[in-house]
Amino acid sequence: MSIRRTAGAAGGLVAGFVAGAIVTLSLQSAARVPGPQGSPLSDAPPVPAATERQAAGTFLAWTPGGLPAGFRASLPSVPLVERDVVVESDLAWLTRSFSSTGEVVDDPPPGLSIPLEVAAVDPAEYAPFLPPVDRGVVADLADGYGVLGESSAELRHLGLGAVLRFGSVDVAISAVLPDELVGANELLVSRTRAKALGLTHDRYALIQPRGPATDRMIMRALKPLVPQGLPVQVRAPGQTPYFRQGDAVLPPVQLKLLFGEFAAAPDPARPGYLKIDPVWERAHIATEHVPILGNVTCNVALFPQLRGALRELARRGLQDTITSYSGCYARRYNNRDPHQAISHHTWGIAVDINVPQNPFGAPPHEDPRLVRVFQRWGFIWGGTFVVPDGMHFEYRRPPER
Amino acid sequence: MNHDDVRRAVSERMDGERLSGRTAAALDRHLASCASCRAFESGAWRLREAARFGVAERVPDLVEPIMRAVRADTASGRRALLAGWRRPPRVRRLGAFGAVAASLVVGLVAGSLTVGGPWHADEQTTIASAADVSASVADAASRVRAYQATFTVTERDPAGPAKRRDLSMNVAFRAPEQFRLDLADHTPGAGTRFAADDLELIVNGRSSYLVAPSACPIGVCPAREQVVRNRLPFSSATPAPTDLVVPVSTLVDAPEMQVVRAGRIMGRSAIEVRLPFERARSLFPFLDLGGRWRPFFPGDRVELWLDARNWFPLRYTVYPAVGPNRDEWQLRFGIPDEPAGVPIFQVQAVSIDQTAPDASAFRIPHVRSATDEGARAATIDEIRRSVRFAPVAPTRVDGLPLYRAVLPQSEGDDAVLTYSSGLSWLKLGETHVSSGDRFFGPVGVHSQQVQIDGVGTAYYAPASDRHGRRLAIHTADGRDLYLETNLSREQLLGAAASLDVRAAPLPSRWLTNASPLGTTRRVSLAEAAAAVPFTLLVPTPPAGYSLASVETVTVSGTASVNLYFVQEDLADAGPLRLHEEAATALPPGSAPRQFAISVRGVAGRWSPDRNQLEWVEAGVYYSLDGSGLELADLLGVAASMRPAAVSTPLGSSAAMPASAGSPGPA
Repeated sequence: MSIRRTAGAAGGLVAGFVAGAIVTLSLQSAARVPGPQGSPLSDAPPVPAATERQAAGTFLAWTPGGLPAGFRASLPSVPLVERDVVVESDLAWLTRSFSSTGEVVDDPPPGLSIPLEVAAVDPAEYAPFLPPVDRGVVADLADGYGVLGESSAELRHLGLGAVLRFGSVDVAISAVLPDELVGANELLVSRTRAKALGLTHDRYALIQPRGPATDRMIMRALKPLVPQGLPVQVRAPGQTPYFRQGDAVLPPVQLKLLFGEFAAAPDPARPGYLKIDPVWERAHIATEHVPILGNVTCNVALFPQLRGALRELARRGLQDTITSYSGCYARRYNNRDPHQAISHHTWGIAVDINVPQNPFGAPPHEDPRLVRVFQRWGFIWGGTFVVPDGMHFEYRRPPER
Repeated sequence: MNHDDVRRAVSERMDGERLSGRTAAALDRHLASCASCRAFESGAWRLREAARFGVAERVPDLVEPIMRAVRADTASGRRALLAGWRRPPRVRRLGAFGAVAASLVVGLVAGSLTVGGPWHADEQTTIASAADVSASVADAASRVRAYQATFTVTERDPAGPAKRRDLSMNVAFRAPEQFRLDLADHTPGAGTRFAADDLELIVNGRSSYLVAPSACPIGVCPAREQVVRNRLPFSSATPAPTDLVVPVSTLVDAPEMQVVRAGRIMGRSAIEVRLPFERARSLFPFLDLGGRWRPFFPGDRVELWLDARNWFPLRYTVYPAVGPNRDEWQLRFGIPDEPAGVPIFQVQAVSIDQTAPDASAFRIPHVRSATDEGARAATIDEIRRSVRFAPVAPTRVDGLPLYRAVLPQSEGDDAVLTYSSGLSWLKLGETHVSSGDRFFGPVGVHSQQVQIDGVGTAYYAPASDRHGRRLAIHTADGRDLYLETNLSREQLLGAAASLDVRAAPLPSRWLTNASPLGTTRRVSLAEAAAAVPFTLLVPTPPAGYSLASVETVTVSGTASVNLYFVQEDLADAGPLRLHEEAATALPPGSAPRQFAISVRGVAGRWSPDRNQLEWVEAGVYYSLDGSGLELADLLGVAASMRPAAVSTPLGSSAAMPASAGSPGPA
């Protein structure tokens, strides 16, 4: 190619480039909108700093297995206690539910019902423990209405205006409150309403102290109200996700959201045991082979974490820290006592290991290295429970990354 | 190799993973013979290009115009140029002029591409206003008879097991109430390392079917299968997420919507709108149907491209919001910092077609047990015989014909009439024996009071994720009605105005809930001001909020007032609540965390987990809370509080719209 032609081509290229850019920019500006229409999504004025953290003014107290008889009656006489409310909580069996437009939402198979964790309070005692803006709810409770916890409403897809049917008792829903205000229970009713639902056990108390107090001070003040040897657990806000009994493990509503909700019925042939909806069982429970333990029957969603923990034990040469395995999935109440809550083994999310060396209630004797590996994989160890259950490793959270 | 293996291998290859020679050969053989996997591959590549997850400058989507320009160019000048390279003699024939012309064309294209590329002529058209978009979407929704589309879905979740997931989504619709959604997870490792979020939802008039993964912490979640029979028309318990077809619930009456620009997507003229995630939630129905999805902050930004002709969503992308509330939310969910300019979720149409899907697509699979929702189809005569009244019917329903009349199973003697055209629907429930002490139907006690021409006072609730816009009317002749629709608020009020009924004041037991323990009463602002022994303060609410209701609460002898401000058309955001009560000190703190803060010049308390601001000023305790509002917003609201102007009757106060408050008990 001659120099003239090369120069011509180069000139054309440059001229074209410039022209193309100019024309395109002009076209783009013609189509560009001066600015978004409508109001801006957010306007951020300067925010004054929130300064020092303030002390809590409300405490939780509970004892394993439920509060002892007479605790509720004695609590107001404790000098350190300014106000208190004792919360009753038990299972109630949901037979049907209706949305606010009349659709049937829960319709368990014939012969089965859905176990719900229902709490009850005296509305007058409960009022000071609600943020003032929510206190109107107590008038509804006193009027026989029920309040759903936020997670419970999400699980059931129900809200204001819904009706929950427990056999012959209907509970209409007047409000949905954050889980923290209902102790992560699924339904809150008044103590009067609770009688018809068969609730009988006081489980925990909320306390506002007279003057500044710490959890230790409250614990000391409550000791005289409980039989010798029964430990009292006291927590301040922020020390536990929800103010409720047995706060080390997930509440049933969270288990249902994570591992599924089943319909069930007490098994008349085996007191303390349950019959479970076979459809739920088929979908959620499986027998699979895992390292060290061999075949185990658990919730299918537990296997990745269980396998992870067991593989790590094997990799670290710690397989001998497990000498026996006694089960995972078991359809029963806690301690096979129909008056207690449904055991988390019924969801198939806990394994019992080394039972002979770690009987329920006795000082635990698990190898700390075994415990550390399971904790890293998201399990909580029963050896840390108020009443030690050293054999018990239960799902608590996703594994550490 | 089956289809899933192939799609997984395609994704792996796109991610740069080396496939074995045998796998690569098998993959290519399968792609050569399988049209659907070829479509997946090309769609996935397009998505990869469109949703490359990196910080990118915000430029117009010009891929299509550029490629058209390039193709057009190829057809003329460049073809000659390229031909010239192959045929030197022809170049010689063109001589110096040809070379210059060719260079000029190349330069034009290169210059154009360098600055972002040319706009198509359509893109210079005037961009519609938000109101125009709303009206057009509502109009288009009623005309859609059939639809089927395929989308690619990309999720970026730095806290999830896969970091990035690729899914495909098929949507099918036939008016009035046949809908199908299939989602398939093609992410490498899905179904083995972690849960594959495959789901199938079929709604076919009176029945629905859903198979979707249950929620589970990690690993493979078990599938949950549910069949519902005797479904209520446009059931709120088992809704068909038709906003995927035309986002009528999302965009009709959407004050937060911004119309941003015009452009071209998939070769179609398109308009981009922006709105916060909480407003666009109906476009993400799969999040609620099952599986394990990343969380979204309510204020995350959704950029939605719509077909400018028929308002089908073509592409929507979620970007993280910016601000301290988002930062705190990230911490709560264990999500690392997400830059505002990097998309975290994208849905992109690959094909859209308006031919009717085959009826077999909506066949409900047989399963052993089903939930009976309880609706019985009935003629008007049958309703009259069953509930002993002739249901009232609107005469103006924006051209929607009567679709189905049903008798729900609930114990009340009520009937439901439904009207539908395309994707638009309106439901009218009626009872004559409402024995409760609340509104009949899904309308809450703090709903907004509105005046309906010719009817009187009604109570309005905006759309939520499970319900459409709703209206409750209590009539003078003992009827209780509720209307629910995905039409606009104006159309809903218009339909209500065409009812041959006269509203009556609400029974006092509806307004007042009295128990030995205490009383709550819905009142007017003036009544509230008179009920408390202090001067009631009323704020200027944030943009988009208005006063919906006022209640007095008396518990254990202490009188207080609650004011509820709601967003005009966004029930899910929750109200802004202001509580006022005579007190000398803050109540004991019970939130997990609480901080001291100065509010209106006095010491107050900020509880971030409740989004609650509290302070005591001149012997009055004040509490302000509202989900989705930041501390700065609440401080701004607090600063705006002034004595309520209640010297004149209800409705005359600047802070008190005519629609708020109570008409007083009957």
